[in-house]
Amino acid sequence: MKRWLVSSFIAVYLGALGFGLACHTLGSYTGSHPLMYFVVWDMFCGWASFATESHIVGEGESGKYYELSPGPWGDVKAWGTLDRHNFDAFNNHTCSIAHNTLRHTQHEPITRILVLEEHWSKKYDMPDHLWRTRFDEPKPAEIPKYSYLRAEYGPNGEIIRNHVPWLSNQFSRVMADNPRLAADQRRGKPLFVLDAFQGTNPSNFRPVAVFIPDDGKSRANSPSTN
Amino acid sequence: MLTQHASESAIEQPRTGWWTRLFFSREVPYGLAIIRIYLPLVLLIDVLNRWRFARELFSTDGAPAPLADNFRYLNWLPVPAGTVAVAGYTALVFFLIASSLGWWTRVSLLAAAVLYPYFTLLDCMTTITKYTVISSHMLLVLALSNVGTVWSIDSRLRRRGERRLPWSLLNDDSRLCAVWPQRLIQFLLCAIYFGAAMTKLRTSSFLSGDQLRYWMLTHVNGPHPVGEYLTQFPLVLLLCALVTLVWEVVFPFVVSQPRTKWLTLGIGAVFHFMTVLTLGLFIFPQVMLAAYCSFLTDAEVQRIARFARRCRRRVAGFFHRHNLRFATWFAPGHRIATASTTAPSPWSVRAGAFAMSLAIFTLAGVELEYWMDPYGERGPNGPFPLKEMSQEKVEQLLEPVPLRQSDKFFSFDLGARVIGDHLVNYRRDFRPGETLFAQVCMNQPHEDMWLECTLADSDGKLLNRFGQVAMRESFRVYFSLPIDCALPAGEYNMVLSNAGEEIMRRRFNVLAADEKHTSSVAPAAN
Repeated sequence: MKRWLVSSFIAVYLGALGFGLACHTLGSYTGSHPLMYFVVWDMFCGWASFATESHIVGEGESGKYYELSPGPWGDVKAWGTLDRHNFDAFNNHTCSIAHNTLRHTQHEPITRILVLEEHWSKKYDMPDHLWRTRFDEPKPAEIPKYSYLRAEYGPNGEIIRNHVPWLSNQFSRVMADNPRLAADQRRGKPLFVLDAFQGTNPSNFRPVAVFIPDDGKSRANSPSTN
Repeated sequence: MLTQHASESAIEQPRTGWWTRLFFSREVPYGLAIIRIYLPLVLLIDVLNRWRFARELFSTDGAPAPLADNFRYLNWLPVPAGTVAVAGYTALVFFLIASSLGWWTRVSLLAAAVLYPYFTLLDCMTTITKYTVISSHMLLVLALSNVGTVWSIDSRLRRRGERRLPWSLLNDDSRLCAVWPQRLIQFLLCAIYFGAAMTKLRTSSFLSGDQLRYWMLTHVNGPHPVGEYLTQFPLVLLLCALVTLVWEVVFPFVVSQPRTKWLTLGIGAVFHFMTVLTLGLFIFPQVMLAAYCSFLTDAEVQRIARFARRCRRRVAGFFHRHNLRFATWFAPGHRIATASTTAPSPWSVRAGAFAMSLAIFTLAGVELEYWMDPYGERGPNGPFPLKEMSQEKVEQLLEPVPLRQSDKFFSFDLGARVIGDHLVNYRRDFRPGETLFAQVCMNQPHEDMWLECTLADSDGKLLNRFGQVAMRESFRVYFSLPIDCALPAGEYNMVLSNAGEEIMRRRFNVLAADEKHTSSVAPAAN
């Protein structure tokens, strides 16, 4: 009996590992359930050429701005020096982090919560001595950064604005750099489509449009699904 | 698959089916015992780092970030109240310590195997990663094994009163267990490496070494000065990427061969050690090295033990010859003096002691956390005030800046040889007859670009201009310039421009045919 139980467990366990491997290799069902995270081994997901640091900022009634993460009590440094909110790649939890800070601090009434990001080329993260060996140009004293409003929430967490990640926005601009593609896109494409391939959850909207520069001004018009 | 290196004890088994031979041959689980001792200690580094923030990370009194939310499974796991989370996390610390000591081993491991993944699933931002997943797998397998039969408090209590030397226990048949837990961890390792190889295969820029370069410049993990230095040697990164990929694919096949097992594991150990230096990883390599211990058979442990005994005797002899007071510490019979001969306590007393220790430890943790007041709400001035940010800083953050042309480029280097689509010998001195290669490395994303290279002499006089298209998916383009008699010896400039803007400029020298290379060679070269 015990032997049968153990054999069954072994079979189920190896089956789960094999299923995860197959799904990962074929690129299917990897995001279908939280438990898939336990059998899909995608440790090298790729790293961008730009570094990112985000800020969660609250604006008070007086017009003053406050840092909402890390809280005044400090933050866990999980692996390096970055604070926790920097690891929220999908911007799913920044609002709850902000509200937790607000719940446990003294403050004036907050009118809006902003998620702001700073991005910079990783070449500026090169140590000075390596920079000198590689570049003739002096390393800038202040690293040139790109600011980006990722999301804006009301005082109760209602979404006012929610943008795609900065890098996605930049990729969209690259795509839109092709005038023929941009013109094709303008013709009769809806901004959203209910994505029937993502299950029955009505919140699964798939943006189908990318950045289209229409009047020479920079404008991102492809909202995030988050 | 893995039967070839089953231990000698397994060979003595009667001939049975492959399933039985693979999973149910019997060994003393020394390898698993090392994992049981080492893995919880490694995990404790992470767990203790987060313990002070348990209320914030894992409870309704904080800001938990359940992984299931990212999969759109809202409320998939219950989120505990603040004090419950602290108590549970403190209990996890206790169970990890008890697992390492082998105190109520199965109970401790089972509890750790439940609590550890549960808490990691509640924080997808800073707690759950692939090494916590691998650890969860191993804790589960350990909990179901008989790993407490060796090198544990449980085994010592069971054998209390037996007047035997520790090494004589190596031949104790009563501690033989089926090897299926070792095999499952071995299969897990094979799946991990194979899956990781599949990921790399699907990531084209990994195979060109470009992603490794960016990874080594990424400051998300710990410090990694060796990695930053290696970014100067793209060919080395390319070779590392290829070797890693090949090794991960062949791992399951070569680790199962007795002749290549230790070589494979040795390469793996070096690989994981290098990730500490080059990528700043710290916990992940240790978890993987712990998993490697599943490949240790009891015969190999006995050989290591014999070697250790010989060393010990030699050290004792050395101390004895030199009349040193430490001689008895290394004498083979030293440990027998510490063996207790008292009768073991009854089961109920031992269970009561364990439960009481758990309760006291957990309560102490909860009390300590309350006393530490993690949110600072019970201080003399009440809750902390919010930290104000400067108006200028926020206004600067709210002002979007278009991507500068210069940030679409990573570097502009000159050299004379290209291997594997990488410039390998960065140089600034060139001789007639050679070909100068100007390599332009670009950051992604960038649009399709027309890149222009201008050759100018030291006075800035334009000598030549050539250009080419860099497609949006390109990481690199090259310009080649034959150094011939049209370029007399002297100093020149190569200027990279895009969209009418000068991006970078590199100075180089053309030497006379008989002149030696001067010192202006760029230091970074392969």
